[in-house]
Amino acid sequence: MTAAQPLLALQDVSLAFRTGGGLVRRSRRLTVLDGVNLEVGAGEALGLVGESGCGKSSLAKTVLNLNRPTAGNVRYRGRDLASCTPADWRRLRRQVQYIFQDPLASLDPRMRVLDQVIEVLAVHDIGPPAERRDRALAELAAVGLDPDLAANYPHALSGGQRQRAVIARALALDPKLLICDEPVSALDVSIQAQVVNLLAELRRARGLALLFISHDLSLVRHLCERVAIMYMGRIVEQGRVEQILDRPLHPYTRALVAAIPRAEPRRGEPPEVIEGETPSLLDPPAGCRFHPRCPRAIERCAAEAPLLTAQPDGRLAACHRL
Amino acid sequence: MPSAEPLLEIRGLTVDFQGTVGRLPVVRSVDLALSPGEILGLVGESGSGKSLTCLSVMRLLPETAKAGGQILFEGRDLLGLPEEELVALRGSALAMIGQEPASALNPVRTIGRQLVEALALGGQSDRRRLLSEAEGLLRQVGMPDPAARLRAYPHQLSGGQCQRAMIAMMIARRPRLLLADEPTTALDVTVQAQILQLLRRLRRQHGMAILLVTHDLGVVAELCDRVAVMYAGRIVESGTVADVFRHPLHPYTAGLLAARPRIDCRVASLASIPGSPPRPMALPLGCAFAPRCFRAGSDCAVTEPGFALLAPDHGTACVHPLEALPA
Repeated sequence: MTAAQPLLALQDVSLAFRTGGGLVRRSRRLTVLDGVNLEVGAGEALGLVGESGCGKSSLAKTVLNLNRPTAGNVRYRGRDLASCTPADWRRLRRQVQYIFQDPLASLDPRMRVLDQVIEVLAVHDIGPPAERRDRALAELAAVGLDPDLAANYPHALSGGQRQRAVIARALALDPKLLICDEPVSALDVSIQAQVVNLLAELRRARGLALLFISHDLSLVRHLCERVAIMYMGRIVEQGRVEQILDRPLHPYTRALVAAIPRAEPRRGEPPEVIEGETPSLLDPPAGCRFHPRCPRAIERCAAEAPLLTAQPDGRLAACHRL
Repeated sequence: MPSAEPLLEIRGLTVDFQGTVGRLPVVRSVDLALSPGEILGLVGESGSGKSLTCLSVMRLLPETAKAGGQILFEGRDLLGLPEEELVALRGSALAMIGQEPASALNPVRTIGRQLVEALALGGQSDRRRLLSEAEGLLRQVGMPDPAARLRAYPHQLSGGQCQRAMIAMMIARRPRLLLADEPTTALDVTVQAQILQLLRRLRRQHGMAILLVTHDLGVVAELCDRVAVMYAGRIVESGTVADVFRHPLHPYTAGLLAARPRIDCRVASLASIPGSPPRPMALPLGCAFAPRCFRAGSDCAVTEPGFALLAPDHGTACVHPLEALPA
């Protein structure tokens, strides 16, 4: 963790929606994020891991101001995003860029890839117009797309090439923070490795900070220094990647790590499997949200939500049984 | 495990699509054998032909596709079987689960009714008995609160529960072969672990053989006895999971294994395979993997290598294979 001011800081961020209201039925409150605290330092890579519906993508959208937090605040370099004017946002979006899972959905199907990179340079008024084309070509070359490929429309590129184009477009603005939401989940294994290596390389070369959202702990281990584990809208454990993945403390993290198929055939018995599935966010369990599935739960777990507290080795974990 | 008679033997299977630009070969001369009670993983990336191989066994290929070769199930060629005999085999001897259980279930019928329908095909007609059998099946697949779930509609179940319901329906008549096409891909990893455990148990209890189609080598390592790797419509390597994972012969297999990030250690850079797989309309001459292969020589671009065994039960289709385990 950096001693200086973090690049991005979330303080007690909660996000709730009202849902399902009608003539007969009363609307219900859906709490997607519940008191989340997170920091990303300049040049640092933080992995955010959890299963579907845990709130990791909602968190990313909150950072981008696509969701307004119901409580708490998101600060970028100390500045509360809620106080930003549209003009501030324009400047900010240059510094914070986003890569989604499906590159085809983030690219304009009717525009050549090269023109899309030129367009963002124009929108943000970067460099003299005459030089934008060369600059765009250089960005595309940096992600491994040569001019021939850059002249294509998105549909003519493969999945991996499309994601490279999206990365080039994001990096053309020279951002400080890149938010990646499952950036390689839609790609085949052999292509995944190419894109992951590219991200790691670009990060080193440009001193980029990364908020890397994924359900894949192995990818996070490869790319990030720190990791935060989310379950039903709350961070349950957070710390250095080796700490958390080699010796997970929280029972949910332990289950998550154990459930990942190994790269090699195991010797002996397969690991213990936790029972049940994530309950509905509309009807979250009281106390610790993991207690109905937790092998170590005691009475207190059902009554009182554990706080995220510092452990002897410096990591944070939220569990009564530690 | 070459026991006496294979349960399923695929010989020279081809699948062609009639496209506007001509014939597209998507499965090209695939040979596979599966013994009773064995779990075989069929691995490959999207478009490699693994799902079409699986669908050919059920004879559920899309109408524009044409299968050739032989698929022998207990000695009978499924591709030449009259429709009525095939229908009789589906469900009773052959069963299939897919990636999206929610779309395989009927959305407007309860789980109980769908299970009873599957069970009734076995000849039993006493509804009350069928219902109690259905409940027993749901209990067997680890469905929480099975009696209540009988009255539930698919949309009321989670993805994992839908997959359990699908599996219950498929094992209702004790098939000898289960075809599973990416059965856990849409599920969360903790739920995936539960379903893999269930499949392992069903194999142990019923001696059911499973052909598991997946892109995930981790799932193969967890569940399978043997594995076959597909690339551009062909099997490029097959063998026991231990042999293939520890001593891959084909450079593609080795590349796939090295490309996976590991949870237990960190490497400086993931080994990646350059380029991307060829499209069926533009297959290179010779070995389809040669343009991406670090071991390719000039001979690779000329002739497509045939499949050869380099060790007992471990073979590859490669002119310059990596070293086999010394016998």
